[in-house]
Amino acid sequence: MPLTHIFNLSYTSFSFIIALAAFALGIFWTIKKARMNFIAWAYSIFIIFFILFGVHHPAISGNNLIHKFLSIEFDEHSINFLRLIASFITFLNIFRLWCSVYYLTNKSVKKIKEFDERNIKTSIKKMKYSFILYVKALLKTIKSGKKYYPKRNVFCEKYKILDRIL
Amino acid sequence: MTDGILETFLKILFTDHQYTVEKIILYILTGILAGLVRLSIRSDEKIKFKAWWDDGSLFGACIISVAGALLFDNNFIWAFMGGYFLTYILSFIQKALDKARDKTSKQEEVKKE
Repeated sequence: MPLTHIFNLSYTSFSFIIALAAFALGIFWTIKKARMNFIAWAYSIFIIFFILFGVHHPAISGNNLIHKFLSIEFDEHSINFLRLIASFITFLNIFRLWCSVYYLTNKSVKKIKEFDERNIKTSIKKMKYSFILYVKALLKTIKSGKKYYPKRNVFCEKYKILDRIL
Repeated sequence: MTDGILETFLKILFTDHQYTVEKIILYILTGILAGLVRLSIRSDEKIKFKAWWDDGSLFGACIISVAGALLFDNNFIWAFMGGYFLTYILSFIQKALDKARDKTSKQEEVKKE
């Protein structure tokens, strides 16, 4: 199977690549001994995307051994259920990421407020500074796969209903 | 009366349903998925794969997903639900038992002293 066939821009291939990326991320986090929530999310996304889309990929459907076990025809309820689970855990982990970024940048936000917005030069500087700050914090959390916010944080107290999930 | 119900139940289980190897493998995969989703949702920080195996949740998820799928409706959703919620309940009971055991062992130690 040529590489161009695997990485062409069809919907199935795109989902297949997402599944593979999630699997790679899962292995990366496992080696890094990251937070189990994130590792489990990566592997479950891999399984779900593989069942839903990966099976239809020409690289897989050509392979009899894999396709024999994974070419199961799901009914519509099961497919919707899988989509629901995937979206639920994804949004949950995005919320965790957001919490982590918010906590990491919290101290530096005071600095951002010091910039004078009336001056165009300083407002551009502010945009640059805040963008770099948030991207850095996001990359830091994704790289380590750990949460940085303590559970008894003032921020977390706003979301007391989600205390057991956060 | 009960024999009749049992007979029909067993008949449905072993004659009406067909269990292929592919389906059993699918249900085991469902169990793994259920266990993974449970790990992703719950907030315990220091969980490792070993602990996942040790507390029986993975094994339980697989068994219960197979049993749930076979007994109920031969359905993916039932398999997942079984794998997810029943292992949650089992681990909850296990935690309570561990706590009780710790308490009694501490009391015994105090008595010995």
